[in-house]
Amino acid sequence: MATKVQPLSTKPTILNRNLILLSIASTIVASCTIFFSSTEEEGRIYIGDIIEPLSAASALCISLIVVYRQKLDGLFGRAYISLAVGLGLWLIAEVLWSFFEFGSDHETPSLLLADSFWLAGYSAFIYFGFSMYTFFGKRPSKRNIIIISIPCALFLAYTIQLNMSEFEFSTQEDILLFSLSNVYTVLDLILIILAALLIISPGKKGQLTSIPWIFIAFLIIAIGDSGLGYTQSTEILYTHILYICGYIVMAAGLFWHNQFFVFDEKRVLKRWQGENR
Amino acid sequence: MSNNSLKQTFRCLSILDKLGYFSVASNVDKILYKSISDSLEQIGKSFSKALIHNMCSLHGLSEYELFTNYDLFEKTLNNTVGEGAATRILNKIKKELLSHAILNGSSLTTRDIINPELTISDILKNTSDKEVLRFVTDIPTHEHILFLYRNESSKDELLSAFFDQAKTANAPTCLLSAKPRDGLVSNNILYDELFEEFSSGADRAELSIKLYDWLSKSCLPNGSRKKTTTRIAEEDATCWLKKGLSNELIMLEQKTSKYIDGNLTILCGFNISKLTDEEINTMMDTIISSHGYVIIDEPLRIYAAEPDKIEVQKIKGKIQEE
Repeated sequence: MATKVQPLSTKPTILNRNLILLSIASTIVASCTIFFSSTEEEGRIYIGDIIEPLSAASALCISLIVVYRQKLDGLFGRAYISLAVGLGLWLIAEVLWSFFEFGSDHETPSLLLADSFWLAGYSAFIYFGFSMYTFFGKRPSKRNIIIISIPCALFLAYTIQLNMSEFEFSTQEDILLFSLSNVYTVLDLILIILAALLIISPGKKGQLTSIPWIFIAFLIIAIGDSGLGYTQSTEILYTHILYICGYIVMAAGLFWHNQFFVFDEKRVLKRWQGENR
Repeated sequence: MSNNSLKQTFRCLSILDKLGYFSVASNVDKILYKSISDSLEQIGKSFSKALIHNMCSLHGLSEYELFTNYDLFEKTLNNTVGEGAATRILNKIKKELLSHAILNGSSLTTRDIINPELTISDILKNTSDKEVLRFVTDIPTHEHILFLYRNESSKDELLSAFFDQAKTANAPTCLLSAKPRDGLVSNNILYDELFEEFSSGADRAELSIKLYDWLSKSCLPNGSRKKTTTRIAEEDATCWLKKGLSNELIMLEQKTSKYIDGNLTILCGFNISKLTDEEINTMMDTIISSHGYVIIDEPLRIYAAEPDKIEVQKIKGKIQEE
């Protein structure tokens, strides 16, 4: 573009504020829907099992729009297709989990098909996280690495110790469940470390990158997931709310990326024509 | 670099602007533009287009303004995407720029290239300086060039380029300097000798005409004036002002510009850090307008006169006597 355009320095600030407000409002609405939709615990869990896949689906839809418009070339093309694949796998996992939870008469089976989709989704998210961290993040200081890795290491040790006391290891299923629990913890911690290092990364943040939306979403989801194995059944609702909040924030981040980092030639041309009439 | 010499440079730049001199387009701008656009495309076409559009929109700049001014681009990039991403992008640009600079004859050595402290500004300065020195080496005949400098090493570099052995082999070269520089040129005249020879008992009004005649005869081998390309340079014309010969200097510059011989190229050096405000105000307009090209150092940049604004017309051929 050779022509000058008018300054739009306030647009990111306004959009940031609007997205924050919308995300908070959506999370509150979703939480209220879950808590007040039914007096029974089971009913609330079922409502949560509907809202959670819907929020995952909304994030997936926006990610597909981003991939369609952005195409697949370059670092960002590859990273965002990976994110879309991750969201797709997790949506399938969410739907399967919801189906098994209230679609069948049996108790939730120990080893579900959903777990394989969740685990596959983690790999896609971790690829996205590393790609974006290496691009946007600065080399972490030793202080930041220590602040983040020590609590994570302690949490991992605590989790393994807790799991060892919970499982009897008398059957193969027990061993598999034990391994699976720890794998989830490790993968969640990887996402938490990536997200935390980027959020507290030193250096000035840019006008268009002041809020790392998608990394905040990773943090929320990973924290919710980390707590899932240790919550009583009555507290599972809170993890549902964290997942829903995470998907909403991810959708906000994807919307932000679509707004500022995907080039819309037609919109720009139309605006230029409007200004130069 | 002192504040005073910087101030003198800005004043000279204002005079150049007032007289209608324009900055000669540099390849460095094109190299920088290409390096930035190629680097951004590697990240993703859509992302790069969106980033450029947003940087231009958020800061009210055109793409050309943004890409050809590296300091502005760096600042805008930091403000838009933050330091982390800006560092990544600038590292890519540095790699692209290095490859372009080397292809364009940059003098960067392997040690420079692998030195992590080498910045993009250093690469641009090196490439730009090389381009100016190449211009000076290859400058055609019948040109009268002014070199305004603050740094002695810039002057030495430029004089070496002007008297480049490959270009001036077997051709007469003449330098008017403060100290002996016999290794550089075939005829070296010192200011002290010149002023001693012409000032004693000479009519000062005739000094510049006699000097021009003397220089052209001394620097050209007999009988071969029209066949060889002669390069004559003056190291620091402010020496004239120290001797109270400012009017003579102005007359000399004007006559040189008017009567420059077809096979002569003349370079006049001025150490502007030695000029006073009064000297700049009273003289520099006339001095500058007598030259077709003006070169300023730090960074080396070339300014050319618009053809219809040169105050004196060049007349090729014989020297006319008044």
